[in-house]
Amino acid sequence: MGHGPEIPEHLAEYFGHDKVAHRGRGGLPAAPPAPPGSTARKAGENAVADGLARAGTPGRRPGDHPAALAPKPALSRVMRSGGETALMQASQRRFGTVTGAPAPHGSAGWFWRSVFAPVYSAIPWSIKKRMVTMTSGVKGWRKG
Amino acid sequence: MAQRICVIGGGAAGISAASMAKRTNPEATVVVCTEFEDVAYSPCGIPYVLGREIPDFERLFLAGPENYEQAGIDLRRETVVTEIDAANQTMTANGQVVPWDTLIVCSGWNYLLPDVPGNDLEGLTFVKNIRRGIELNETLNDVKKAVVLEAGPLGVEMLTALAHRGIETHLVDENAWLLAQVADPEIAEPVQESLKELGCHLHFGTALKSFVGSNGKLTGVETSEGIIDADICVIATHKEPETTLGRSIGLKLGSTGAFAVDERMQTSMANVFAAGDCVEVPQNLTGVAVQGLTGSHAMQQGRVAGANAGGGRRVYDPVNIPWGMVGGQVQIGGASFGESLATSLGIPYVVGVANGISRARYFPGVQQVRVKLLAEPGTGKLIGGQFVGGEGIKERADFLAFALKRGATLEDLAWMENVYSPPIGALYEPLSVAAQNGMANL
Ligand SMILES: Cc1cc2nc3c(=O)[nH]c(=O)nc-3n(C[C@H](O)[C@H](O)[C@H](O)COP(=O)(O)OP(=O)(O)OC[C@H]3O[C@@H](n4cnc5c(N)ncnc54)[C@H](O)[C@@H]3O)c2cc1C
Repeated sequence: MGHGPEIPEHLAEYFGHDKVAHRGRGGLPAAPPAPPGSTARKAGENAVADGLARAGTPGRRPGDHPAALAPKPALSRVMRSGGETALMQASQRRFGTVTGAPAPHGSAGWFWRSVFAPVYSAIPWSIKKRMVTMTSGVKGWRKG
Repeated sequence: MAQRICVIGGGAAGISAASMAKRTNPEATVVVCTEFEDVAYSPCGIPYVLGREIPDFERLFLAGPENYEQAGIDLRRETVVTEIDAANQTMTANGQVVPWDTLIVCSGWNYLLPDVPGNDLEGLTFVKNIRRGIELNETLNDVKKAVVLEAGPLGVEMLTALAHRGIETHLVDENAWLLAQVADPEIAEPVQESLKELGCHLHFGTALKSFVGSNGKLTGVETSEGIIDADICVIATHKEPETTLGRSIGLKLGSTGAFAVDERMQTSMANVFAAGDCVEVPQNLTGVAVQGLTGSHAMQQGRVAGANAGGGRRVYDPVNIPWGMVGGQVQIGGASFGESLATSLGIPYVVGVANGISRARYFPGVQQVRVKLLAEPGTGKLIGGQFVGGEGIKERADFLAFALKRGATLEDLAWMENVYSPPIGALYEPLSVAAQNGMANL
């Protein structure tokens, strides 16, 4: 498949052809539906008929707002999430230069960015590994 | 008296838990409650119907509710569990008290709601259950401009889908590149370029400030870089574990905020199991708890929980998390650690990289495949890898996850056997070449 001149050749060569990467909208025959009379076919037809009948009509439905604020986190979650954000952002700043990516938008906070991340990076992995398994590990599992 | 097993949740985890519990203990009564209207369909196909690659939603159904009745499972749809009484071993579902001897909590996940002004406006859009997906599909006909919030797997799928539909689509993500939690920038780059070619506008390093609207309806998304006009904003944020009911009876949570379970998927309470996106499990190499994996993980965890709830003895293995997907025209995938993630944790590694091909060089449809492997310095024991290319990515991600599980080394892969058949594979397997290159860095 040809690509516009805006795609550098060294990247365009990784692009899939139509069949693999779903560019064949309408160009590929659809997979067959479930056999007529099957329970899958019936369930699908019922759901679609009901969904279409309700589309655009007011009223609450199951699962129409599947979003929630995180509950008040325990200390272990606060610690993990602050540390993780700071470390991943530092890593993104470092590796983003390879492709000219922008810097991540910093939201880890001063302590995590300026104190925790540099101190953590100075500790040898063998000690860090023990630290992370102690603070963010699981219990009751055999070792992988 | 026959054992009474109750399952909360009719997603991948809940349905597989119920089926396995019934198979393990055919005498047991098994009740499944789900607040949704449907079970046994593939939510994973929804973005592709929205993007019109699949002609209709009907095709996403795999079975009907009758199949569960026939299997002896009491499936209760549109049934909300509002309370669990752990002392008396009952739960309240649609106001009715249902007793249990063993409970399996598979309450899944919700999108993390951005805690910014305007998060209650009409136009914030969530892709979760199929019935609402069918309704969304109709409203998309009137949508001209959309924002997708966050470039995780669901966000990237929705970006592709909306762009396929001819909608002006913007991605807003605080991270520096796409799938930044797992992928490295040079692996993500071809996907980003392909999305741009589809017409997507990618705003990385950009924070959400608020949702703006008038008369209760979304009209735009305010970011750290300015306001983007939008008719809808698809929320594709982190999968926050749904733990409300479990917390109410004191089930212990781990460091991800999901239920802590042991390797049998038992929670901190006797006779209460949990599975799927509401639990955390250990990553194989580090033992660190991870949550919000994939539908295939949820399904396997459900099977383990169901078998144990039914009186069997099964354990779930720590995970290496093979992942893979298509963004735009490009396939991307991997397993366990990439370079950016390993660096952030501080794991030492060496890298082996190769650019290879998916078929014989002369065969029509041949595609480039980039492989990047990471291994422990000295021993060469694999710690992860990533792939990008036109085809053959999923198979390599699955293979790599298995190699990681078995403790394989770069040397093992450097000397591996591989299929050579011009239409489906080249003489030199790119994975093996990457391993050979990596050995030079040990
Ligand atoms: C759009 C979309 C695309 C996806 N694509 C992929 C993909 O490509 N590959 C992949 O592997 N996975 C995919 N997934 C799967 C997904 O990422 C999750 O991993 C999967 O949904 C987890 O299953 P679960 O059963 O743990 O939770 P859920 O699917 O969240 O199911 C939770 C269930 O619990 C019920 N429930 C919760 N609380 C209550 C209550 N109080 N009372 C009664 N019922 C309750 C809900 O009704 C629901 O039935 C996709 C999901 C979606 C929505």
